[in-house]
Amino acid sequence: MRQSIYRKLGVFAIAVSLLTGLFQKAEAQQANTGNYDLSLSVKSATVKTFTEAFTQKTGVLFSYEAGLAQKPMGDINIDVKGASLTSILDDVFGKQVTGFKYKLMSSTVVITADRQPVSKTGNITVSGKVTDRSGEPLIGAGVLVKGTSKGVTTDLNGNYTLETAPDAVLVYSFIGYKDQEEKVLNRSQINVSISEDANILDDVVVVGYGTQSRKSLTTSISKVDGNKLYAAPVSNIGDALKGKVTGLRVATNNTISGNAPRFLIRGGSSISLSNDPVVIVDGVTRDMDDLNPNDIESIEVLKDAASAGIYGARASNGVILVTTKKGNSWERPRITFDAQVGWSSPSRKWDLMNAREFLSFVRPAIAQGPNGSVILNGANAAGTGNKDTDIFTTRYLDKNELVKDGWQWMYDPVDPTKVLTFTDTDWQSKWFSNALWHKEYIGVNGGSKNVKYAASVSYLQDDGMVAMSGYKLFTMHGNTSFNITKGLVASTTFDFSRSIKNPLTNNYFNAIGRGLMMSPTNREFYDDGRWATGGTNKNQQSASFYEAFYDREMAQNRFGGNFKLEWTIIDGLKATAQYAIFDDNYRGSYYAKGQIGETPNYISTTRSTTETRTQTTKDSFTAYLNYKKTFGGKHKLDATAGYDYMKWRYWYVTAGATGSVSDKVPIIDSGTNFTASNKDEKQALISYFGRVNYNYDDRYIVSATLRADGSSKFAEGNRWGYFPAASAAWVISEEPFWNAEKSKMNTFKFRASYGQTGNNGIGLYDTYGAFATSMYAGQSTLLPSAMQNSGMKWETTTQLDLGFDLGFFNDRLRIVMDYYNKTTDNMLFSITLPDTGSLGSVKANVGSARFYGAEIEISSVNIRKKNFEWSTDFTYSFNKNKVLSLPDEYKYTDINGKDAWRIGGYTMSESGERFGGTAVGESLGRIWGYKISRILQTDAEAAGALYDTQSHGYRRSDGKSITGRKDAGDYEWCNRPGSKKTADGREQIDAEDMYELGNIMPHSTGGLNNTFRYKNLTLSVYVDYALGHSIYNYMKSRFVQNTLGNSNSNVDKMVYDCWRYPGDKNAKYARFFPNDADYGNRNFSRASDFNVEKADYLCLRDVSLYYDLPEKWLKNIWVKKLTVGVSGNTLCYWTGVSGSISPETGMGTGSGDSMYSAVSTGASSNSSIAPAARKILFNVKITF
Amino acid sequence: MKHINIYKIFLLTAFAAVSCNGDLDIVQDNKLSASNMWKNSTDVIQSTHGIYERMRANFVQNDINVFYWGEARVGDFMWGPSLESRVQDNNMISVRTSTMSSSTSSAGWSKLYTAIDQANAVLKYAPKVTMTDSERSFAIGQAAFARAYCYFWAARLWGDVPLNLMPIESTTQPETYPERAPKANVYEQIGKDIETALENSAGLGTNKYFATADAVNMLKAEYALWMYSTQDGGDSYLTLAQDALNAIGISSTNLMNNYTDIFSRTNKVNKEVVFALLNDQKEGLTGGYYIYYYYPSNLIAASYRNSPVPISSTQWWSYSQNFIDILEKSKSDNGDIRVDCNLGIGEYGASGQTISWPNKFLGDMSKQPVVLDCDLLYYRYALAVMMDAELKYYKKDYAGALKSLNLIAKRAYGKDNFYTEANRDAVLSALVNEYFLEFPAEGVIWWALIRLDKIWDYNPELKAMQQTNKNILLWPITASARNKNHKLTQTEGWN
Repeated sequence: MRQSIYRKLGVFAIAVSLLTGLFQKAEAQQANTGNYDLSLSVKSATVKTFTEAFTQKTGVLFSYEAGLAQKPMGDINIDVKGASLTSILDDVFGKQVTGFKYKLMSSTVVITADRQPVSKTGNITVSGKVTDRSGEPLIGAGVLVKGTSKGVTTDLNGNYTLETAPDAVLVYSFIGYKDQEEKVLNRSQINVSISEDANILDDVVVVGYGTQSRKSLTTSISKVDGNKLYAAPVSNIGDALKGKVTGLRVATNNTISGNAPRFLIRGGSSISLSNDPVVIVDGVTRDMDDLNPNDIESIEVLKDAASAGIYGARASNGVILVTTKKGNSWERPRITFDAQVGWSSPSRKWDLMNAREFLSFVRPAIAQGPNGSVILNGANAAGTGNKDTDIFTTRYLDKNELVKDGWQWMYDPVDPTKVLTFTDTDWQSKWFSNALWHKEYIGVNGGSKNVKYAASVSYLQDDGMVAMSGYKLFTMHGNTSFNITKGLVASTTFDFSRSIKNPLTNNYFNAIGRGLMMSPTNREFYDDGRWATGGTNKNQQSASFYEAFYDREMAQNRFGGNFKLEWTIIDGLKATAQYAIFDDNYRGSYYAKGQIGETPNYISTTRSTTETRTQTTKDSFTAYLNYKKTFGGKHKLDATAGYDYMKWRYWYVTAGATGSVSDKVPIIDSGTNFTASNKDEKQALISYFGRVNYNYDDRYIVSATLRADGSSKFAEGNRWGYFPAASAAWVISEEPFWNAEKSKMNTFKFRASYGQTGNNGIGLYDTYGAFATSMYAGQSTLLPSAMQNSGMKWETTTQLDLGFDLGFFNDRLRIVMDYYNKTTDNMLFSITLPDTGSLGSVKANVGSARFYGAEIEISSVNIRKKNFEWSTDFTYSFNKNKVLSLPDEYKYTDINGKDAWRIGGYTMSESGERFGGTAVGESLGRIWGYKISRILQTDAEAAGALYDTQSHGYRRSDGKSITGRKDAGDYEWCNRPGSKKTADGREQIDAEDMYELGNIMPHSTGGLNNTFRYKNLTLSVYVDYALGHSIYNYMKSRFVQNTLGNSNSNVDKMVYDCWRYPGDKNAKYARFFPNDADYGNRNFSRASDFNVEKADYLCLRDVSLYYDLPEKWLKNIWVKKLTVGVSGNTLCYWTGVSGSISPETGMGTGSGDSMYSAVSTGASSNSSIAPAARKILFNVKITF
Repeated sequence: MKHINIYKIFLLTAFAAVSCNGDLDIVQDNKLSASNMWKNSTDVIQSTHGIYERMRANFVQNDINVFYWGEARVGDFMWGPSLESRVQDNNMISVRTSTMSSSTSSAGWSKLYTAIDQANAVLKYAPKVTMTDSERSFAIGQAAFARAYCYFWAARLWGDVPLNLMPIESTTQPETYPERAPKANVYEQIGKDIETALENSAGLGTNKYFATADAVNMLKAEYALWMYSTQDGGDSYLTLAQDALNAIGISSTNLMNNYTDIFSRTNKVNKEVVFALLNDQKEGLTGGYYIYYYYPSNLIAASYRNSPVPISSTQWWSYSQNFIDILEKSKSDNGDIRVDCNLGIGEYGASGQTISWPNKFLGDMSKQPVVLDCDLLYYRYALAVMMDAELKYYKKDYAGALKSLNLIAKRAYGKDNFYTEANRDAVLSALVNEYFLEFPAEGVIWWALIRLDKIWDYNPELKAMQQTNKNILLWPITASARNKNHKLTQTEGWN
């Protein structure tokens, strides 16, 4: 039989003690005592009354078996000054009271009955040792003869001896462990090892407006413990969550340091609105971008409708709750210093040619192409007509001339009688290089009877592995709570961060993309010290040019603070009120210098300057009442009702000027052509919410939530939305019939939840409409620019979640599984209006989509020995989606005569069949392009190839370009049946011949962590993965096309795999052609399965090795704990994606961008051209 | 004591909880929105100005303007493709030959309705918003004129048209997806709106880029003549026309002496202009159908580019040789001073060939291509004089008709009593003749020919087509309009 544990202060008290993160680390009997001035007198005390009184005065928490609650303790008097907790407890349990003993487990005082050994003649003597599963002796463990009150406790070595009948049954018990029974069977030696009781070590999860024990949870919530994020080798917390949470996809799309990754919970919920989840930090809706991972207590991800439903109208995309660290009341001040230093470097690179390889490969190819000799003799990257004043260095070495210092030479592959001389610059290493990364953190944590506090300060500096991507982050965190009177606790939290980024101009393709493509024979500087321009495109410049000419700073100060009162009105009834503010101030400064020394700004000499300021303020007030009560021992009720008020405001002002005459005063005033604009936007959200949770005997648990949200974005009448959800769990393993020991399965819980959430992510003017001002005949005019739709309401997502929580071998193996199916209705779309009104379209609630999938999370302690432990955590998430309905304006009849709905896409001329775009019955995020059929091996095959509308039709055999035809070595593309034919009725290749080549969204994501601990050494290896997605890798095309004027761009060594001769069956790619895009047959220019690459990846995300220095070494230097370690982050990707491109990218970068829109790696605003940073850091952590 | 304080705090909380719901009534002040629009006179007055911005946006379109709607369909008698390049696009050909279809872009009415919608909004809110009487009178008068003017175009072009009288402000109101209303209802509403505009004429003002009292009367006269001559309206409409023309006053004082000066970009809103929509480089408002009369520079000898031959890209429309002959004959026989303005002609071609173009409405010729910044004229006093002659003709007051006609003829030919024969046929012939010679390229002639029932003489193909399409004088509506509103049916006889 299992013991039920009565929790003195309910779940919340244990939550506090657990969330400190000390529980796991503290060791038995190692009391961390503060000093108490305590005067306490309890007459005729029971365990319950005494502990309550004691807790009231000291804040110290107790835990004991339910059966002990009413046990009499007699009169207890305590009157001490400056005494330690141990000495007080020793006095009480050692002198004043008998029959009890206590044990200090971290923060909680555990009281057990002190069973005295009773001897009886005629029995045998049994002795033995009680250990835990790792073989560690348990001191003070109880050994009881079943059915009697006879028993002993184990000594300091875990040994016991008692007399008992030879056929008796012994019960071994220890607080925090499960009871174990052994039949004596005449044995004199019985050694047992007992296992921890998961009920006591139960996890507490933060749910909206409260906490709950994981055991009694009926919904789908994943938790990441703060200590798993501590000292994570990342610049942003989000990066530390990759693959760790089932159902949560975390992908870094903007690889420039300082940018947060994007989150997607269970595929999101919308087609046209945002799919970003709501992030709530300490009760305040904000982002978590600049929080310090060391300050995090826990992160909870609310995934199903029943858990997220308490956040109502904003919760369709799920909710991420971040709780920051609090102090402890029983603790001496503990100071932690943590420093990490190391470097970041590009995790992936293109395999670009050096100058020698470039000339050897490209020159012979140019010779075969159109205008070959002109290019080869001209002032081009591979041409020999360059002079000292040209940007390229390649030229013939004159007779008797010596090769210049730093230059190289080679025989001309086209004319080996001549010698080429040239310079060689590795431009990629100038854009991506190793950079210093360091972070320092100091945290203080502690408390006394009436005050608890935690505070920290940190500084992070990432010099930026990509040119101009430096990032600095300064954070401060503070959390204090005070016991004001009996039952009233006040607490405050504040977070401050200041981040500074210096990113390059946001046209990443122009800068990095073109910069990488610079030929290795391009000069960086002329002999006179001026910058050499990069090439035929004015934006193609070296990294040093961009660094020198562009001053850009993006500085952001974020401040969050709250004040909270918690009042325990009567036992079990608690009122909480919190006022919180969050301020986000941004400053963006941009200046483009006109001239440096003798070098003008080759891109623009207008000396453009822009200053942008934004301020976001979020004020929120939350108040709720919570009632928790246990009736008759088995009926537990937990009810919460409350109110939320949020008011947000956003100001924006930007001003700019061009035309300053000098770079000396780079401010707006010195320019002309001023421009300016500003915005001031407001919104409010008022909510009422309630939750009732009923638990019968920890077996049957039901819960219901309801939230009513009123949003200012919607017009009166549709302003209020109501979001109900219900959930239930059956803990089968708690049933009397369940034999946990026998089945090895100690936890078996079935969960089901169903409910509704909303998405109110519409624009501020979508419901109210807007009017624009203009001029006519010298008079101001006002005209409607957006129609109001006062009937607009939330997108509503209905979600079903079914799950199992399983625990085996006393929870050493835990499995959590979920299946979910969510349907979003009333989806907001822009619908076309008749042309008999002012406006062409209006947003309206039409359309629906389904997102569904399954998740599994496995954690296992594989080996637990005294000196060695190996544990594994594994997550797997599967997600798919399907469009269910679209507005009727997109309705058409498909070729089978059935109704169909499709937005955008293509229509095949011959068959009338439509494909592409967004269509009912199809999934979102698909990538369309041409499909390679084969490589045309011979001239004859080329002659018989399909007409290709994009081909320039150059053939080496006749040197002519005739549009549409092919040459040997070209790709033959797949022809789609029913697509457009040529005028004379032949099949051809054009845009109607595109196929679905992939999807930007992985169907599966997850991670696998293995932690090995040997004595004081801990090794952790973490990999994460995503499967099923593709990326349109435009940059791959650019690195085989050899474009930019006369074949001036560098190429990747993948061109060695190009087709070389008729019958070259081993060729991986089509024929290489100098400037394929402009003069060739465009084998590489279009989106095709050449450049739409499967982006499945496995990433060696984190490897860390930590060593805790033995305590005996530290005793004399006032150091409690000292840990040294080395960790690596994003060390390696195994993926099919080419070059430097991170396989996590491929979707929009900004939070407003659709998660389901494919973005090519050459998109101007997409920084994913840069690789993800690989970090290797050395870490020292000292606790005083 | 402490408990009381705590109690107070939480009571305050509870109070806050119920007292803030009004905070959801947020008014954004970046842009006007439905929540803070139509609150004061400025909203109404600026919206009234907006009607004309919308109206201008309609008539300045490349293939939707008074030329396509009011003249191109006169057909080959008057217009054809460029005599040089012989090209016209499908839209142009279909309008010229009256073979339009639902895909003809010139059949689009959407921007006409945006102006109507804006007028509807002003008419809805002007009575409700606090403002001075003169402001209200201005708003209502302008909106009523504009709505009548736009519906008058619509009813003449398509016959039955959706008759929206309320602004479209939601997807659920019945006006959002309208059906075509019987044209009689539309014409009736036009009559009412004209009267509303006249009732408020004191507030209309004198700015000719908006409606003036004279502009309303011009519309009233044109409407009345149309109702009388094409809709079997009866004699009461002649009285209506007479009232309107009397109010304007028919005399030569309102006519410019020099015909060319009427259209000059340096002499805008001159005394002959009654109603114009602004074209102006400063406000970024340029454009117009005249661009289709201009030549690409390669066809014109260098020395004549923009001097005098206006240079743009492609010449798509040119007078027919027949009409050029008529104009040249009027000049040579009668010394018609208008012809040099209506017809530019000379051996200006790149290889010396004869080049011709309508020479009125010349834009900014200092730039190549020409910047189209002369105003778009909709009513000028010469039309009032012509309508007066037409009215007298309907009233069988042929002498009276000649009197008015001779005001026009005097300026054109420099002679008093140019027309003398006071009988039905002669007056009709003179009326038609003067409409052709006075108004080419102004979008007037098609309507005049219909009113005078003479279109069949000048475009005999129409007569043939009328056998199969009794609505041959109307237009089809576009497929796009029907796709967006399935309640709309095609004009009978068209597809």
